[in-house]
Amino acid sequence: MVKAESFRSQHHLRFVMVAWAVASVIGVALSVMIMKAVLRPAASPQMADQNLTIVVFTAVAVPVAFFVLTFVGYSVWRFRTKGMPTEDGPPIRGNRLAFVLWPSVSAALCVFLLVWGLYGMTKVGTFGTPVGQGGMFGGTRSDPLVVEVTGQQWLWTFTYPSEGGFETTKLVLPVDRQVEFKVTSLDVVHSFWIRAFGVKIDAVPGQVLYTNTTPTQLGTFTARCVELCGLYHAYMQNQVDVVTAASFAAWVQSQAAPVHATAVGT
Amino acid sequence: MGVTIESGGGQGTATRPPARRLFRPNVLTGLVLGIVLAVIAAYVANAITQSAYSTAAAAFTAWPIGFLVGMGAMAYPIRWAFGKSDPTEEEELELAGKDAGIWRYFRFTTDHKVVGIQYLWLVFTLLTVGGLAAMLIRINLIEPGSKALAPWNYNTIVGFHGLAMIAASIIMISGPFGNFVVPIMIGARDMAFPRLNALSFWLAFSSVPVLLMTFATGGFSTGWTLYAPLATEGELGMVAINFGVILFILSTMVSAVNIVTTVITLRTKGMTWARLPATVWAVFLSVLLGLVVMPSFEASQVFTMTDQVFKTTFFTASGGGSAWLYENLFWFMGHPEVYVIAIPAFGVVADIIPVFTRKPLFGRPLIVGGMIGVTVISVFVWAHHLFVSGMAPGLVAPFMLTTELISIPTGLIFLAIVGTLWRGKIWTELPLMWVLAFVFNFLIGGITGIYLADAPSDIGLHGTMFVTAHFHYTLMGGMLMEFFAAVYFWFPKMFGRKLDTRLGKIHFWITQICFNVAFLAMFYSGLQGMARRVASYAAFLTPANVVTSLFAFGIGVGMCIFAYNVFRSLRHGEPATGNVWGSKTLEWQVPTPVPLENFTGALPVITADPYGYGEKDAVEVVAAASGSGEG
Ligand SMILES: [Cu+2]
Repeated sequence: MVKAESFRSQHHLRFVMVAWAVASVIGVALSVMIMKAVLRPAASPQMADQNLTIVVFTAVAVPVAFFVLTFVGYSVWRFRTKGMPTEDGPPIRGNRLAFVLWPSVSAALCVFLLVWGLYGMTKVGTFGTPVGQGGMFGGTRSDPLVVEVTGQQWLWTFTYPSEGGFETTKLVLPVDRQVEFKVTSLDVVHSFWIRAFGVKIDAVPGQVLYTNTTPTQLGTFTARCVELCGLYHAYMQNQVDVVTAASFAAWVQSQAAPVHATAVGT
Repeated sequence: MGVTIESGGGQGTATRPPARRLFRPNVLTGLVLGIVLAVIAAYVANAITQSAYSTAAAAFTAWPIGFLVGMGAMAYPIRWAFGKSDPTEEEELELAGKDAGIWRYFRFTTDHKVVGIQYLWLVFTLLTVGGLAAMLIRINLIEPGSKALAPWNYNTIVGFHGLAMIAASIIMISGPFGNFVVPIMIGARDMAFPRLNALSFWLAFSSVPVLLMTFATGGFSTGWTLYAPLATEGELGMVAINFGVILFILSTMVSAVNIVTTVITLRTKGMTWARLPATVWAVFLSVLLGLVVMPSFEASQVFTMTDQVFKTTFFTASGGGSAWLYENLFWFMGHPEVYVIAIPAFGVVADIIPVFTRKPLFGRPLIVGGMIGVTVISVFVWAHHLFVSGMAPGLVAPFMLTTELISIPTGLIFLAIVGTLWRGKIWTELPLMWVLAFVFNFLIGGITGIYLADAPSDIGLHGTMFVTAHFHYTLMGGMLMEFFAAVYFWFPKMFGRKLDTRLGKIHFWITQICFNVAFLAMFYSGLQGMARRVASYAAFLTPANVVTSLFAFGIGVGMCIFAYNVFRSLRHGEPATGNVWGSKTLEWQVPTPVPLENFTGALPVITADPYGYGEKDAVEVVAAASGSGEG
């Protein structure tokens, strides 16, 4: 009797584990394909790293989720009663192996996430500090083009201090050259985001925060605000053009006319 | 407290009511006095200061005072302060709503069961208002260009949707069930501080009209996070929000003190911490966590209010203040608050699954330990909302670590679910179906949280619809589904009738399917680069938004079916006064309706935990007779 019971239990367990393994293999392959299709192409090394992180996390997450779902799904399918149960189930209050394995696997996954996250942080750019500073997460400085970014309700303005300090509402960047953004706000908290470059940093009144990237794709992109900043927040977006070095120089020439004083950093 | 009420106590009271009963304060007298005082205060403040902000602040300060005095909340404290005699037992019972019929729900009533049901209706109300706001949001987002709503109204509605839903979520289990069920579960006759209990409900009640006043005073544009200095830029409608939140938080703290004290001191003989049902543990830890983190939010709202009304500069850079101060005050509450909402749901899951599998709760010590772990770690994770705010890079790593660590204790709830379901006698009634929906949705909610916990992926996803979809998967797909599990489970206990099963299943499937389609599409818009809380979006995002909107309307239809089910079942539902689900917890062993002081005769003595299904020395399930109670 006891033997038959434990045999049935083994049988159930074996079935679930096989089902989980099969589902996971298919699920991982499928989800990686879907993610790659959904994620839009990267126009900077940071964005490529962020896209990779999302794909890798998805691939790791799918077997974890499927483990729970296969067990729950199988249980409901096989152990379901018709109407109110007339007898109790087996009085199992625990299982030592499960009690050890479950938290251990969770902990191992946590370690993986932390290590991946720390490694990723060394590559994705700075967290508000100038490029090259901020310790191991500062990145390397290689003669960046500095652009001062000022947020105000509901517009971004850009100043190029090294190119004569002119101010524009269109961000133009030369391709394959590191750019450092010095971001601040004149009124409320905004957040400066160029999705295609994987660049995002808050614009905080009274503070100057830094972030950097290296655009690798020619084309037109969007810089927009991602921190709710009042009435026309949804419309707070500016055009970003990534052009060749020669076109950039020509554009700078055309802009070099009158210099506007800006209140950056006050 | 020592009084024992015979069941059927309503019959013997033929004595003439004393004269003072001719007039008893109730919600109407409260409203009248509250409004009168508010108008007077506004008039005086306006005459003195000539400022709309001060006028609003004065009115919102006077309103709750007038309302509570008008409710009769101050009668006993004043009597006590002037050294008058203590209330007699008869007076205490009258205050608890003895023989008051339906009116006890509209008075300052101390009976925890009355407060529980009052809270249930408050949650329904907040969910309805918040849900209507959600429908408006989705109408506006069905096409780009913000054609249905002006951007101003859109921002106000987004913020109000958030506030109403967060308020509802904070109280949706601790309020109705923490009050109605928990005292019975631990074998107590009432809460430790019955008057504070009534106070906590009526404070929460009084916050709702204040919050709604924002619509009459021009709205607010900050979203529910109420970020300063946007919040202090001069919107009059923000004053109403500040005061509404201040009142609501005050209510949760009063309630928290009460529940914590009740669970510590009023457990009956034998109800050790090791035998305490998971729901009790969960509500206890949740309100304890709230008690630690809510004052920070309270302070942020007081500062925002004074920045606006009295021109202080807590959050204004030019006056020496900082937006970062607000962000930290807010998120110190903002993230633990998610666990204030989540932990009670975990408790309900852990108590419902054993009943519907006829098996003991798998890994009970791990669940309780896990909930304690979540409570502690959740206080140390808040800065993961601030990775791109300009915090020092050296701080990013530790907050990433704590955020990832919390998945270990959280994951234990899934171990309990898997372990308890395995080889159980699974009875797929509605409460269990909602638990299964929780499993599916909360898995997705939890896993997508990892993308946001890890700084490299968070930089891209922060502030996008991905975040919105993620927290709807946890709060709505996870916690709200658990609220429904709790409602379907305890409705017979609270009202003596079952909710209709057929309507319940329609509600379940519509909600679960529409929820998943709507928010999976929202994950997609987020990954495509759609920012949160925007009134308009780029044209290429239209298909995903149409899908989200249409299926969100589907959720609305599901909720209407639920509302119909509740109202219909209250009158015509199948009578169910016994131990409907065959549960071993104490609340199912007392009669329905539950007598005024819960236990007729002596308090029960507990000899085992309520999970001993299939065990020889388990607590016997008593098919509780239907008592006449106090009707
Ligand atoms: Cu902005």
